[in-house]
Amino acid sequence: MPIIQIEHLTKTFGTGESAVHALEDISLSVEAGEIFGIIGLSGAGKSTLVRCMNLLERPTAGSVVVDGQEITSLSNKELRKVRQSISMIFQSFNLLMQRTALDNICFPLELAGWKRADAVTRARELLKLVGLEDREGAYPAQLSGGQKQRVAIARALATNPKVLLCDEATSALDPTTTVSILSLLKELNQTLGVTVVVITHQMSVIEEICSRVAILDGGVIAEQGRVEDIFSNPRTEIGRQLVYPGGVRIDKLPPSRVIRIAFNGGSSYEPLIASLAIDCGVKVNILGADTRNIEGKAFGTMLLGLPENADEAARALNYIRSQPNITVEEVESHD
Amino acid sequence: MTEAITAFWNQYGELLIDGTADTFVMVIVSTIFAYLLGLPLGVLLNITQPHGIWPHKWLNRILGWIVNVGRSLPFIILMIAIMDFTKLIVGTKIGVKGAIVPLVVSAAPFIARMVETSLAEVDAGVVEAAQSMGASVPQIVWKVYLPEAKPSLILGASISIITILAYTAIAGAVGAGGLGDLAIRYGYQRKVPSMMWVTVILIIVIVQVIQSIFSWLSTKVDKRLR
Repeated sequence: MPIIQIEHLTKTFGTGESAVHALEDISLSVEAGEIFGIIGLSGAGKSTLVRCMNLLERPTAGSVVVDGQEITSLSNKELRKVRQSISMIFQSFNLLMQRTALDNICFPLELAGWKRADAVTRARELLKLVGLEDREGAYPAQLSGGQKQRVAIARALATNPKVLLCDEATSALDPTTTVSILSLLKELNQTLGVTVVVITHQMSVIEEICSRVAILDGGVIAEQGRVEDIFSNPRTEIGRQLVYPGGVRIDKLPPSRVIRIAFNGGSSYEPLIASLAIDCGVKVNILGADTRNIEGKAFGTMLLGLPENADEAARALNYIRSQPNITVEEVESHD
Repeated sequence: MTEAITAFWNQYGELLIDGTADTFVMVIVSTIFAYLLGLPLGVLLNITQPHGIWPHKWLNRILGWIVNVGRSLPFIILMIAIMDFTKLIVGTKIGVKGAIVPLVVSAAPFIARMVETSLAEVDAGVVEAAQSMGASVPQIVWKVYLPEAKPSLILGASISIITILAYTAIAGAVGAGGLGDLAIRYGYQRKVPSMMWVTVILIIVIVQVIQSIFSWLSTKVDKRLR
């Protein structure tokens, strides 16, 4: 059963000629327990869409059903109650600057009417869960970006929500911290069973943790489906632009087999290509790359053309698959 | 020199002590009542805005209009204009008691604007986060706006108190008592320049002390500073 079901949702800002159609006829469903990604370029309407899931933005038309309940028709009081089960984390963390880490986590519990002692106990549990048990007395200004987001995650989980909405939660973080926050989200999804909705403009984020993804472009859903399907065979222009490094046009590529590899913080990519040549005696063709080398670790994606010889291609593929911290997908041709 | 100071103190010392005490009473009592009115008014001005957490177009306009009227009247005119109202509230038009009513009426709108501005400095993202957790309007005011704006509210209070202090000196012109009254009666009307200078210096010292205390306090409570 879907935990979030959106049907024919439209959001228009303003009226008349100055009206901006931020979202048009959006339908999607998020299954309980999954990590669902919504990706798009800036201005695509992602943030508006995620805010329609807890009614921080009211849709102009359409229905939003959360956990079996149509939330657009709720009273303010009922809506506030529902919001305790749909938490949200933000790009800029949005912690209370005048409260300690511990008191930030107590905040939603205070709102829900918990006793102080119970709230503190619960907050300490959560600090431990996000690995910050020794920083409970620190104020946000004394924490790093990654630590602030961990506090925000702990705060969001305090009331045992069913859904965690992440609005560009890693966009303000460096790649190493991004990876650690993403693996925390994945871990929380698996251990607590909380459904996670991830809004991002980075394909690497989707690739790292999402099972399904919707691509948003100009306020409409361009395509949606399982992440591996979209990655191996993006059907739309925006899909290709997001999936392939530098937006390479796949139909202009050579007829050989093409693979897309993603580096998730393992060793640098140069040794991989070199060792492919040395260990396997296979030369691959780099068709496109968007990689960054941070503290000796590789992040990003690369599009490789495999040799036409099927044997060599298979050897190369096996070799790459055996590497840690690298994911590989074969790209289907688009003719 | 020492003799001159002793002679001055013997003649005016008691007046100065009483005047300072009157000034303190007027400033403290007026500030308390002005905040009791101005703080909620400032909060309402902020939250009833079109993009506030409790949008009420007409309420916002009416409150804004009242505050603007209150702020556009010069204090000395307001004080005279509301004398009958003052008598109704405290039973007298003059003296320390008679000054407190116009001081409150004049300072409250000023404080409302100061509070409104302080709350506007609170990060909209933090307010949104509170809303996303299901916080009600009063909860956001008490648990987000006021605590997060605390350092700014404290700085605003120093400006408000010093403004009220300046008004008490003006009130002195119509027999309110206090240091302003001494400066006018002795320094100006009875031509005792030393009295004028002493009261001026006392007022300067009081302003400096208030400003220093509140600036220190604002920095001390602000957890954004490491």
